[in-house]
Amino acid sequence: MEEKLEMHEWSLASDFIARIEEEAKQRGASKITNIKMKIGSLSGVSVEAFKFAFSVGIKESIISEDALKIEEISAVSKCSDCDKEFSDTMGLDACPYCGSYSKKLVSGNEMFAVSFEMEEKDV
Amino acid sequence: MCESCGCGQPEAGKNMSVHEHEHEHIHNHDKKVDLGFDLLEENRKLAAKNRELFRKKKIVTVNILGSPGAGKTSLLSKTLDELKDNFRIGIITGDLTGDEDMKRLARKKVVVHQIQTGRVCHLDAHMIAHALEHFSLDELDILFIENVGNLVCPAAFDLGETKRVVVLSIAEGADKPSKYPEIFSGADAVLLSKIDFAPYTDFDFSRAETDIHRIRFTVELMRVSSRTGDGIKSWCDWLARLTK
Ligand SMILES: Nc1nc2c(ncn2[C@@H]2O[C@H](COP(=O)(O)OP(=O)(O)OP(=O)(O)O)[C@@H](O)[C@H]2O)c(=O)[nH]1
Ligand SMILES: [Mg+2]
Ligand SMILES: [Zn+2]
Repeated sequence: MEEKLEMHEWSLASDFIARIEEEAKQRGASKITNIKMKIGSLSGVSVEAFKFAFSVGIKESIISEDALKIEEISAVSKCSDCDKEFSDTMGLDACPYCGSYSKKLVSGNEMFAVSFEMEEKDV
Repeated sequence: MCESCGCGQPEAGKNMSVHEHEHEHIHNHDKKVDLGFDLLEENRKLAAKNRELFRKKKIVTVNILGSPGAGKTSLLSKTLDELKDNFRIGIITGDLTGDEDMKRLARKKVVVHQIQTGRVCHLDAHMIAHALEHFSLDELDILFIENVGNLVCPAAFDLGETKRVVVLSIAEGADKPSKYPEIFSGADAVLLSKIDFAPYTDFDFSRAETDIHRIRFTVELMRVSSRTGDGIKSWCDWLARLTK
């Protein structure tokens, strides 16, 4: 990958920053802290790349530097043969109960925005 | 202005659900705002719209993914030779810059529309919705989308395609499926390409094919060479069956 290539994490980060800022400003925020997210291991989003893009994107914003808190979610698959669910972080695992590779992803492809906290301007 | 997809603007829309509540403790001015939306959801919604449109217009749409140089354009070019007498075919090509692929394919006398993504590493459903404005959808049977050459990013973006196909050339190495599982996990078919190179590589077909099956049990596996034409017939038969 060429270095100048814009990874999709950049556009995801800048859209997200704009959305949070808009929400916060409508509520009269002066500062945004504690932004919680959940990112699945099979979302196709690199947490490291996203964090980096985010840290660049919030310069000159009201988002505090250490605001972003990401919880990484390990993917879970459901076995199509025995119906049991199991952790399948990279989507490479067989069902630990019966050995089958026939499975469906239950969770792990999400990139979920949970909440943020804000401080209001003093009136 | 964006009319075809109703999003009202060039960037993803802003219909997230938000509700807020006061924190009962610590600091009077501290307020928590619940967000509760998926950043990839906007793309999924637009993809669902595209998919519905393809279904209504009876168009089989094939999203083709793979590394730069995996052989996507060469494969399409061969495929056109095979199918264009029997099917009405359209092509969308995604490239960072340049129009090389578009020119190569336009020589085959089919409608080709190019999306230049600039510095963006993937196509998304929104770009496809707009690209569709350049086609007469009532006069199409198969629409191929050649995604940006990249084995990582396009995996996260559903375009609304009927089938997703990954092209992996054997020059890239048999370890690629296990190293880049995301792209294979959504694939309906994987084509191992450039098999005419087999005598000159140590490509371990059984390792690659086993790994691909582990990632995606239901996947269709094919081996092709756009140089010699090997495997092109079965690939085209597979495509033709999709239109039934
Ligand atoms: N020997 C051999 N060479 C091939 C085959 N398919 C493609 N090539 C060569 O591989 C190179 C790249 O092929 P392309 O079809 O341009 O690959 P691509 O995936 O479209 O590349 P990008 O669009 O740049 O990502 C070209 O020089 C092709 O001639 C094949 O089956 N056998
Ligand atoms: Mg190409
Ligand atoms: Zn099982």
